[in-house]
Amino acid sequence: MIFRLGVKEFIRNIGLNLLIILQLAATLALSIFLTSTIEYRLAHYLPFKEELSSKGLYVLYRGFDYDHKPIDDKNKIISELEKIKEITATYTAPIIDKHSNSDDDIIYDITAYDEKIFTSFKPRLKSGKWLDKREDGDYLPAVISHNWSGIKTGDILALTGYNDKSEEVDVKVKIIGTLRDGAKVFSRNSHDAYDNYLDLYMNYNYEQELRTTLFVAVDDMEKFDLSYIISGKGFITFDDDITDEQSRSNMNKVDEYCSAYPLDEVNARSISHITYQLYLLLPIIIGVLMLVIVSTLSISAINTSKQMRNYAIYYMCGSQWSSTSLISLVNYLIVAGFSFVLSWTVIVGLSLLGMLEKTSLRFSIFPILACLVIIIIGLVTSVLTPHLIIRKTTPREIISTND
Amino acid sequence: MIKIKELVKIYNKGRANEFEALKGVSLEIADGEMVAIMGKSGAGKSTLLHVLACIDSYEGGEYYLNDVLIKDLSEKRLAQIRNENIGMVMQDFALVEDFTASENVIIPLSFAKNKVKDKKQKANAALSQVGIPDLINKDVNKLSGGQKQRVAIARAIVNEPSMILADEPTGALDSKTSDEIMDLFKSLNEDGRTVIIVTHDINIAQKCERIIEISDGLIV
Ligand SMILES: Nc1ncnc2c1ncn2[C@@H]1O[C@H](COP(=O)(O)OP(=O)(O)O)[C@@H](O)[C@H]1O
Ligand SMILES: [Mg+2]
Repeated sequence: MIFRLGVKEFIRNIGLNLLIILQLAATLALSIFLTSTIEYRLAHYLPFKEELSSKGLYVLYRGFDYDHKPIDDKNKIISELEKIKEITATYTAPIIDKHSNSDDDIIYDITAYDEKIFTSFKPRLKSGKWLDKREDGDYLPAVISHNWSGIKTGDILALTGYNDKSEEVDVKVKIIGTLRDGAKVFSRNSHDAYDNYLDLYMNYNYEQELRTTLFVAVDDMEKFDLSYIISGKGFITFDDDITDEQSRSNMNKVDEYCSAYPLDEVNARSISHITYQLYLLLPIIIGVLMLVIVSTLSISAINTSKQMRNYAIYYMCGSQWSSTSLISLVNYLIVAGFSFVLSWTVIVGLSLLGMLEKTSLRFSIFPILACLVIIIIGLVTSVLTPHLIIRKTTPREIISTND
Repeated sequence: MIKIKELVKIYNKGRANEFEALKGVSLEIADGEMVAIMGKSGAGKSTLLHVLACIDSYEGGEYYLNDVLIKDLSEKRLAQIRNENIGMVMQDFALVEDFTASENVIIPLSFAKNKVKDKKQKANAALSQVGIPDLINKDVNKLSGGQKQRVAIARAIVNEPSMILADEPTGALDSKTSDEIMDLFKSLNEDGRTVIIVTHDINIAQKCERIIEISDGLIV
């Protein structure tokens, strides 16, 4: 009965309820984006949290520059350093399409990753799969950047690279995935950014880069006998028991090859950046919560006071006074249900139409949890408000209107 | 069967505006009686009726309904008693205005402890019994005062309670309609129901078998 009366109450106030549905749906959409934003910040820190919070160096290898000696073998550096735990790096090599129809050979860039990097951070793809899902075979599996050459997922390219002796090596490259334009990738470009974790990445934008990059696993380079050099950003982590002395000497040594910065400083700036970002979002989060509480409070209060006389009638006919407040709960559940469906329909719809690609929106469990938290806060409000209102008066006072 | 002994009702007990509305009322009403509770405005008639209807508590004395002491019962139990044993009719009809006649009559069936089958048929039968079978699907806000009161009476009898309590049921009606409503109460009483009518109108009271007069919270 309470359920049916709740439904009736919803229909009775359909106009107001529609407004509330729109408002709650907007609030839910806002919190979906908010959660995505927070997740986005963390999604770029967490993959390399282990490295960033280790003792060690954040390094910027320039492929070729005049200040530093080139490195084509990371074992060579390791042998020169003390107490090294791991070197995690990005590599590069040229690879050429000799069979193209254009006058000049087309040179592609290769960005090769250590396994740690491509398993920890997966860029957003337009199609296909990322390197962590690649299969072994006769082809070199590669993910291609968004490009204007018409190369797409599934294509097989016959290209030419070079081995250690600078001899040409023919290799068939299979495109297993294509990046979205502007997708964030773990960066191997040489711009001198080392402020915080965000500088580990770059947005791969075709119009800016004007070149097509093939992203591959460094192990596959090895397998197909292609040579490569370290280039871009990476980490050199030290053993925990390293002394300050050893640490300093490592840093001086690494400085000969590339720019190096202590990880603890980069990490400290990263943490304060994240904290600051969350801090900026805090007023919005509080605002959203206030909005939910105030709006459910007012709808429950309006409904309850409008329905008070009817509640008294139900009471007279055998309902319990306290349970009449549940009618408002049913009303709220309907409102919340519609709002939830509406907000997700709009967001999923827009993203299917490709209109949210440039936003930080991500579909995961967290935005859903955020919606549920908001709905539960509204739910509690929608039960408490009528309860507090009807507690102040007795049905007898409402019923006895004579004299 | 109603039995009350030295019943005392105090409004706002312990506060500055404390008011003793019933000052020790004793009375018995047997099953099947048709009784008027009469008195001037402010005498305590409605207060007494509300206590009898289990929608208000009391501070002193005892109230037995069918040999059950109505005191310190749980909310749930009281709700069940209101639902099963009591049908109330109010001066202002107390109908849910945007429900149809039949939806109003269904309310007590819906709050019944055991799920009621054929709610619609039961409601229609009650509406036929009060003489308005043709108004079943009408919204009650489109009905006249007399028709509304018939809907309210149908609602009061649909669960077949042993007694009907009416507070100034003709207070808002013209005299012709009042007479029709009183005839209806009479016929319900003839079918064996206890009917208790609160009124300040002697003409209404005289249509009952017995008149209990109340003044200043006491039976005279
Ligand atoms: N909630 C209340 N608080 C204080 N006094 C009340 C309350 N309800 C009724 N009274 C007082 O109790 C007396 C009896 O009221 P009531 O039973 O409604 O009289 P009647 O129905 O006979 O006109 C009146 O004096 C009235 O002012
Ligand atoms: Mg009265």
